[in-house]
Amino acid sequence: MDGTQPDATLQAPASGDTRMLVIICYGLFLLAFTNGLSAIAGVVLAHIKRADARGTIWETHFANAIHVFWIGVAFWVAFFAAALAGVAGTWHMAIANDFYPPMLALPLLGLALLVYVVWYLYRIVRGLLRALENKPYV
Amino acid sequence: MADISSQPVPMADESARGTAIIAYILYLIGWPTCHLSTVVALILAYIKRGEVRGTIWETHFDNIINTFWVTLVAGIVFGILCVFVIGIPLLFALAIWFLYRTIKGLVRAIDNKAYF
Repeated sequence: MDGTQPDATLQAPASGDTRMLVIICYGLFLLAFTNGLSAIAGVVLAHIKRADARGTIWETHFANAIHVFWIGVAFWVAFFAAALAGVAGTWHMAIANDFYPPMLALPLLGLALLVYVVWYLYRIVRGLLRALENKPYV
Repeated sequence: MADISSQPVPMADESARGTAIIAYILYLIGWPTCHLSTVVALILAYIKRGEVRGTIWETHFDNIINTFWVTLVAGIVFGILCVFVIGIPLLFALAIWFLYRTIKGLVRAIDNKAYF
């Protein structure tokens, strides 16, 4: 995505181009709900472009995208670890007819996922809205 | 018609109008998107409402926010009531009410009118 216009950004960090990249970055994060992967493209874009945008309002948007991505990685690692423990606990109970506390993680995981999704949408939608209005994320 | 549109519309209002229309459309496509778009519309409404206090757009964002919470709470209660048969027609009525609030709001936002 950014490979198509390296010359324009080398000369001067034109804010129009950077603004468009911020909007594309947020768009990729929203699109991740349908494919699970495009947020990776978004965070690569943000990591590459953040240095060019130092000192401008767009730096706050790239920092926001990077923050959301890495918190998300930490969330999913914890989520899958807890889900594995929960499923193993349920399975253990089914075959051994014995109670195993980690299975209690399963209903709590649904709640955690809901909180995470709302938080993710808030950060991305608010950022997109403020980028469209030429404001920093803050 | 002429006397309503003769008032100048500030830029902030134009942006608020666009956001309200997008939020209503996101409500209407909530079902095929597993209600993710509904949550996006709610976030948009909460962010934008603070900027448009005292204008007609505040009534639209109030409507979007109230419709969400009423539908959520009533949906949970009526869902439980489905154990008794009464919940099924109540859920159907709730869906109609949700669509009424959303479509009425969308039409009135397009017409540059307050929700009420």
